[in-house]
Amino acid sequence: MAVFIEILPFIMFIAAFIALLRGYPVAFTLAGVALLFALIGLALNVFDPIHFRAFPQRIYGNLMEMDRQILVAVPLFVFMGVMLEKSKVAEELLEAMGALFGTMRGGLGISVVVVGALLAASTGIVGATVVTMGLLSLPTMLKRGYSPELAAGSIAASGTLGQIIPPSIVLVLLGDQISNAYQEAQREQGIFAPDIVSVGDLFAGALIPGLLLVLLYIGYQIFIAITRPQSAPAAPPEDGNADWGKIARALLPPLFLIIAVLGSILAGLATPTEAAGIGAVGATFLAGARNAGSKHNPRLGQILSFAGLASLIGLILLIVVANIGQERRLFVADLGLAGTGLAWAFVLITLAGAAVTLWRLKASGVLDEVMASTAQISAMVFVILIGAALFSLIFKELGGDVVVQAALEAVPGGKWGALAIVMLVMFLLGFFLDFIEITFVVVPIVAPILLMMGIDPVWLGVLMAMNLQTSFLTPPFGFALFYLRGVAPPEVTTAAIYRGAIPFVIIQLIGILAVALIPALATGLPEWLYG
Amino acid sequence: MRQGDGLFFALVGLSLVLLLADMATGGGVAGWAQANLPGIARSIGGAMIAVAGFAWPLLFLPLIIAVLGRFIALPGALHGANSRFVRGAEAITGAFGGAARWFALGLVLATAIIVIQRYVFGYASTKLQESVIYMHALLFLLASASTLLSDGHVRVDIFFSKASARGKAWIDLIGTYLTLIPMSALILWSSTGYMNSTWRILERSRESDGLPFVFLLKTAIPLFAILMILQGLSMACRAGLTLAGQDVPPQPKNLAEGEV
Repeated sequence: MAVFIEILPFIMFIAAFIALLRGYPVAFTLAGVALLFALIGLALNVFDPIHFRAFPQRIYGNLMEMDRQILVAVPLFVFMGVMLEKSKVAEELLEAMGALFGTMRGGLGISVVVVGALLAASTGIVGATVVTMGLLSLPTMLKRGYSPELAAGSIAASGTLGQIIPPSIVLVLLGDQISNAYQEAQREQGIFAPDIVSVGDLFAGALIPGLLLVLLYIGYQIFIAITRPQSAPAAPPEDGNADWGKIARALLPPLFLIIAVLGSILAGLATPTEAAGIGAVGATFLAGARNAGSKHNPRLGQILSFAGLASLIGLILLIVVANIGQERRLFVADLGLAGTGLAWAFVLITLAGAAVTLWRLKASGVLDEVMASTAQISAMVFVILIGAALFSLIFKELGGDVVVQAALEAVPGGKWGALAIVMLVMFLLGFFLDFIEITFVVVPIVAPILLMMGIDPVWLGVLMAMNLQTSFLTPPFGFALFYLRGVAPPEVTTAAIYRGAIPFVIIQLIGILAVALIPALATGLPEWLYG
Repeated sequence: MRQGDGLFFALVGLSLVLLLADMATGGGVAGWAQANLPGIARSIGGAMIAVAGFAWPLLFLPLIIAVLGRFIALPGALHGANSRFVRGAEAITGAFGGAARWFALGLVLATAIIVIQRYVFGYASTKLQESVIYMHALLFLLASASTLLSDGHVRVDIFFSKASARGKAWIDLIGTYLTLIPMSALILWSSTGYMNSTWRILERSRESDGLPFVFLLKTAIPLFAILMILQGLSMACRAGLTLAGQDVPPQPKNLAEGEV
């Protein structure tokens, strides 16, 4: 009996895994399995039902309290991403990049990687990116004579960049869990003035590894173009009449949005939540200026959306410029008459532009779609957090954390061995579960133990994010491959998609290894930025 | 007007009326609430427990349909009751989900206003900041049931996507009984004491200049559980009908997928 109690948490984990594979929604499956094992624990007298009583307070404390403001960044980034998706930014970017690079050997492959990286930094929704590029770029690449393997692999891999390149929803949720785990680890060790690691730290930490992956992907495209030119032919020159005006129109607005959002977070000027809110408003203006969802093209409305966007940008610039080199933060009142007048003018134009833009988007139905999608994705994410909270509560009460700790400490090789095991388990789980479940279930259990072994939290977070990203790309179960299969034409066989993904999986492994061996790749930028 | 818009604007209107009445009477509404609301809430809570006492046999409706339907042609009355329940439940969860979607826009606007206030004018409003958290919480708690209706809750679909319609119906039926309803029932059961303690003192923000509505925010947790039970049962009813080989009521339109 004692042995059974000992391994009960282990059985619980396996049971959850098997139950999840049945296909009932994850959030409730986790809760249901947790309840079942709580009842078993109750029967064996190892579980105190008082913990049930605390469940509503746990939901409230985990999700709804004032100090959980970082979670609000998730619906805001989702709103921004869905809005950009509806305004067809991706389509225009792909067209412009194709015109720019297409006449080079391997150029279409490079443009897919670059667009994937840009979308990753602006929308960060993997499924949407893979589907959009699969629908638009895959047929073009095939028509130009690219090998199906290379085309499919490039699109699937570039789509997964959304997870690692900040700002990404994965990093917000992972950063939040790691931040909690870090506090818990330090409390356990009796450190009373704990260090804090924030989502902003993880954003800064993931930036260089993310860009490293982009460079490696581009390097691979160039390598193929040189060694196997028949797999990545150049487009005929008449297709390459690059219209610079068009390219600038496609590229500059999203690029500016990315710089404003990411820059303000990295510079420590704004929290991720604040930056996401401004990013969402910026995306809304952009959608209005591009007449998302409506066929006729009223000049006035478009101009007002542009004016709103321009004055929002003006407002940001005004704040930034006024504060450069100042010892204390300046506000409008400190700017003198001209500054005050300018700031008020910007605010009023922004508000007027916002009102007109929202009205037009509501009339064209885009706003309803964006609001409804945001509500659904937000409910999907946070209800899993409710289920996972119950799961990890009962897992811990049944002694699961002690079992895991003992197991990880018994792994030969100290913290490296423990880290390797955790990474392997997460990689395998990533075949079956989405990143949200893994982040909410596995990270709270293993991260405090790993952090107590002296592993750097930012480094750990970046490694986990890269690891999950790789797992989503790995045949035969990678999620990105499923998304691509769903939209790829039938002449691209599943086997070709799998074969095409393998080189990128190897690139990913090289990237992970590089970050593992040179932690400064992840920890350097946050240390440099925040000291 | 789309589904839920009516509920949303009614709620906004009611809040405005109460606010104006409170201002006009110099805090009269707040005083009245302070004096009477806990008592009223207790009676409503008691009434809801009584309703639950009557309504619990409804829990078996999907099972009865699934099992009975295998062997006999379902009596018209039962089939009709079932369809009415599905439509009724989905009208309720759909209205809440539709109303909640507005909070997505509210979140964006409120956050943007906070940022402009803070960085341009150097001014921070605790009330506005708290309202962001309120909207965030209401967004996912109230939209969760309608998300289930439009199958937006993520599933591990490696095997599920290959299952037959009957196989999927079995999983939905059994899963609802074994996981969704127990989880929601646990939340409801454990909420009784929780609601009691927060409504008794009409709990307000810990900040003196914050919003005094923490008790309403916390009430969204059991409301979430009730909506999930309604939608879970309606999903199980659909599954039961599929298993019995009967006509399934059509899925309502999903706003997120647009009109094209």
